Amino acid sequence: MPVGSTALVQALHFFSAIPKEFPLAPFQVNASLDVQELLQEALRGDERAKALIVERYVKQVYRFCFRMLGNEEDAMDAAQETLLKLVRNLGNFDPSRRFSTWVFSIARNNCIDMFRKRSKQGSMPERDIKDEGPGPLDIAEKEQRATHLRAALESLSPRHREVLLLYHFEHLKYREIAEVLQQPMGTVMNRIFRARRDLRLAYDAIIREARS
Amino acid sequence: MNQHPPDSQLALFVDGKLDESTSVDLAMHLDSCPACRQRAASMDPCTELCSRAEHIEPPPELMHRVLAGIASSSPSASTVHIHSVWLGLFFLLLASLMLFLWGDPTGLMAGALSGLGGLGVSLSALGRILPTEGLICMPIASLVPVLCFLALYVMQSNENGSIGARST
Ligand SMILES: [Zn+2]
Repeated sequence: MPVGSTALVQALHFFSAIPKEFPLAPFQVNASLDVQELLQEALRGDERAKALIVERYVKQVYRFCFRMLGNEEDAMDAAQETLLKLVRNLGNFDPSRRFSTWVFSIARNNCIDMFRKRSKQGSMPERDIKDEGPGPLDIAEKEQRATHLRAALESLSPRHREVLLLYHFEHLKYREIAEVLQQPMGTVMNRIFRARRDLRLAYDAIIREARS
Repeated sequence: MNQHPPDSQLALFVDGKLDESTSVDLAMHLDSCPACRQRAASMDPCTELCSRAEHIEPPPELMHRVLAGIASSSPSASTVHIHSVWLGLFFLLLASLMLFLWGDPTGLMAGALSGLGGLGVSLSALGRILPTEGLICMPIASLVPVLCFLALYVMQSNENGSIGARST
């Protein structure tokens, strides 16, 4: 009977599309589970659940890191570190918190570490600016606006940039941002107001410079 | 704050011109009231400004790197479990060998014990991988030692048992 059961496991293993990295992914986990359910499966050692958690947050984490750090190489490193930490520390997740705010707080800490590393090395990597190749006028204009916005965002301090990214780009609620930053609501609100004002000023200055 | 704030107050909020405690109250309201959040967003120039941002997609390589990192950093639980299944199978094989070579009560006892060990390891490993199958297998597995001891008892009471003859 155990031979039969083992054969069953191997047959399931053979017929399911499992990434090479996973010698044997369990089969009861499906992608439609919510994060809490995936978390429970992952904590039981289910590799597929871990992969699904990563898959669910990879876009948000990369986007946030990219906009915080301004270049692909650092964003890749920070996002990879964040997602690995996330999976390795699933057991430390405090269920009274929202999972997504926990993910963003890990991403944020990694970006801050990256800033520290950069300042120690005294180098700021080149920004990745996409070629504004020939194309319809509105597309070129759109790309130019995006480039100006990116430059304006990068001119802000990391503290101001992160609150804007969390509110305007990742659409977190104010209290969720307070949770990510581990700061009182009053502090967060003041930071957001200042960040919004600074972003507008920086953007206007960049536009003026571009026109002159 | 239970009432929806008027436009004039929302405009002051967006500009950061309210005092801190009123701002916090309003922010709490916006967190729980999508309609007011939407109204505030439409008054905030940063909403339109941020909508100009480029679309960012992670390079596919990132997902591969993370999955490889997960697989290499810790021996995955599933790998450990499948190793346990193999270990269990090895014990079962050993048990059958002992039964085949020493077809007497001592061989049967040793075979039954290592077979039991093999089954235990295999099934507990299976139980971790496939909980449902593991649960079904457990009660059946618990019958194995009972059957082994029954067989032993029958053979001991029947001195010139047929197992001895089979081994020759
Ligand atoms: Zn309202």
